[in-house]
Amino acid sequence: MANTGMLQIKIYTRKFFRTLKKESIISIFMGIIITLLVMGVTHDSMFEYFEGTKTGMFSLICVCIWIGIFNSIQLVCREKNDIVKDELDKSLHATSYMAAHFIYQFFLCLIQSLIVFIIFTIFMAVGGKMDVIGSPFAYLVTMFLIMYASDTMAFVISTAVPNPIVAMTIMPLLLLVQLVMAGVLFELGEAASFVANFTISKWGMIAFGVIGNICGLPTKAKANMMDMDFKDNRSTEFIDEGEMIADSLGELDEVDFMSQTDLDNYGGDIHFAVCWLCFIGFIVAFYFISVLALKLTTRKIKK
Amino acid sequence: MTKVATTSLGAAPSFGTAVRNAYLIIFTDIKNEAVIIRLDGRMTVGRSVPGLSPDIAIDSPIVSRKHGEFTAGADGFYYKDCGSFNGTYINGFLYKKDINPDIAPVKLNDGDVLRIDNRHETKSHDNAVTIVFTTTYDKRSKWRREKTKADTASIGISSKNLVEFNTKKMAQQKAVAGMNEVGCALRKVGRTNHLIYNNCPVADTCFVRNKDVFRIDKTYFYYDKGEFIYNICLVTEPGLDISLQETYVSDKLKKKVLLKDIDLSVDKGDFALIIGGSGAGKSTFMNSVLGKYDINGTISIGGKKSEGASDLTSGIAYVPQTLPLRKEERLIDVVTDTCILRNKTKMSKSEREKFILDSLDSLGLKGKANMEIKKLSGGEQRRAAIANEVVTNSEIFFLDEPDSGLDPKSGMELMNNLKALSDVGKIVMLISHNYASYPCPEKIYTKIIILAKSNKDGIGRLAFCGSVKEALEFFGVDALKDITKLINPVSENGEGRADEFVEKYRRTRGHG
Repeated sequence: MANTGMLQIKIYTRKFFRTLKKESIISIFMGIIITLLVMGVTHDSMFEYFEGTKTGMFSLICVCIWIGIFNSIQLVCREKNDIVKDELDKSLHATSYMAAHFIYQFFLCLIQSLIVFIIFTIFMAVGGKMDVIGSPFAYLVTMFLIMYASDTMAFVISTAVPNPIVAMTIMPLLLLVQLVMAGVLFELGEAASFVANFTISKWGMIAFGVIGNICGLPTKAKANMMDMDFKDNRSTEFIDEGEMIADSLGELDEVDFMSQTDLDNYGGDIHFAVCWLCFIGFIVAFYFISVLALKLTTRKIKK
Repeated sequence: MTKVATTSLGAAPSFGTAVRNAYLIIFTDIKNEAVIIRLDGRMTVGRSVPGLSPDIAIDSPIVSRKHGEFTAGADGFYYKDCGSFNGTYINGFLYKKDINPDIAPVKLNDGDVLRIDNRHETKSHDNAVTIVFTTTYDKRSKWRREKTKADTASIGISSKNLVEFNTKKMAQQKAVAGMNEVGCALRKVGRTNHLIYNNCPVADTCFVRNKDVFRIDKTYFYYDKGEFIYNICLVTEPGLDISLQETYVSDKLKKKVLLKDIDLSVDKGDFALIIGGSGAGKSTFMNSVLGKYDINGTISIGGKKSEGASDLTSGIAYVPQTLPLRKEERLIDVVTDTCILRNKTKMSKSEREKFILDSLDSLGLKGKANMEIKKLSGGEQRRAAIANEVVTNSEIFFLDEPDSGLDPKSGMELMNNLKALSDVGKIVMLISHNYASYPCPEKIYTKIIILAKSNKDGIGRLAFCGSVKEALEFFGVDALKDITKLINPVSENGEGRADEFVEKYRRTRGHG
């Protein structure tokens, strides 16, 4: 049983490397275009102010989630009725089939996350921000985990739905949930905050926020105020300019410009490794759910 | 010289089912090979004379014109004497109607020996006939002849079922025979009960007259005046026996029966066509055997019984209506993967490659091995799907409309490919709607399975199972295509006689 399972995983992984090559290349190219587009728009405001960085990071997470979902949303459902059902009837194990898919997608996501990371790094390097972005390796791992977790999440949909049309109808909904639950676009209520714990986007934002130490960045409002104070004080020709700035900053520090959620999320004691563990947990859970969904939807002939 | 011939069944044939694969092995003369006849319901045996043609005609002067009759009962086959002059020895006991007119028909068991003889003291008559009744016959059996010049012969059977006579280094000696002009005395060698005479194990020795039969393990030996006719691999595992009381789907509230009372068997080497009107349950029938539906009943493959889905039924090669192939893959990659995963025969890499190429060659696809599936034509894609199952080395093939969408020429080519599969002993069962477009169906298909949807309850039932010739006779039509017209409902331009034929078939099988 175990040997058969391993052999099936080996054969099907090889099969996917053969058959999915072409569409993976398209997927990689699309990923490059989207990342360039998003980074081109957001790179200026990243690591300058809190808001710009938060939006930029959120966009980056959206890119990773979109690429991940797009990779796999149709993979199972398009061949489930004609091919996979027949193969499952003829001794293929659902666990092996899904494991082979997960292995193939692991490598695909690795390549894609590497590309996204390289583009991100180039933009940051050109903007001279490499010193402030935090650990590049942590970014790479986080991007990969977000992408791979999204990819595996899409497998749950792909195994559960009957055909690609339904899958593509659900896809925007899936993305929307992730966007809303990230807590970036809207302030989340208590119930929504609880649900958000089960979303990839929320943990992605926390991980990026912690790695980039975005709570250490000034908010735009704070910076503007500082700028205004400085100009006003200069016009009154105070003797000790340096003393004035120091006083202003001291006063501003006491004002809370960030929401409590932001501070809780990105400024707490949480380590990004915790987020990584959450992603791994998601991936494992999605594997078992997709196996179960595949078994249930292909179990018997229904009339 | 004594000869054996068979004629077609009578106007109202009956079809045995309880013992589905019953054969008679008839030995008449050492110069002739054994004649194999499949018992199919009631069959008469006798001497053929003008105006009287028994089903099994034996041209021997000691056989009466109407000598005996084989009949199918609910629990097996029976033999009765029809008032013959010489009677019939069944396992050595004379059975003759004029001795005991009220004697009941004798139930036959696998391996029973029937002899029509007119003995003079201990000598067999020169025209004596020996018949073996068997329920496990492999049509691929080869017959051999051995003449021994010496007075004694040593007989052995190797592990590969090969018979050896008087070999010096005989690995598995089974018996020693001492011959004279009347017959031969046999002495068993070894402790097992491998020597069988008159369907009884021989404890030590026995005497076999000329023109008589004995058995060692699975091999029958017909002996006459120092000569032996024997078979190689006569008895092997039986084919596919299907006994479905019900096929149904059920949810929490109700149970919906889709098929009922389907009881049939398919032999090794059979090429069976499944036909029936729309909604008769052809695909459901296949899927029931494959374990995709809940069933009440049993499926036996090679003598092993299974109730529903099991490892047994998962060994059946199945080609569904829709192509189960990834079209971006090359044909060679597809079949290699399948061979590695599903072929249980141990092979080296080079052996596997050769086996795969041979399999592709048998379906005319060797030159297309490196092509992607999507680049093959419709007919080639169908054959690719079949090749993908052939490489599993399965014994049973189920195909659901493999010729749909193909032109008659490609369809016929496909049928020939499938026929070649059955010719090497595989069981091939297919559903087809295009069978009418192929010439000489009786030469292609060895068996026709006809399913009909009842007008009363809408449940699919077995309306017939037998040869093409028998089917035409049973339905009283000239061509197979007319059968579906008979059984289809009136709403589908048929005559709506499904229930009539289901009942007729049920009656002829001895069920009420």
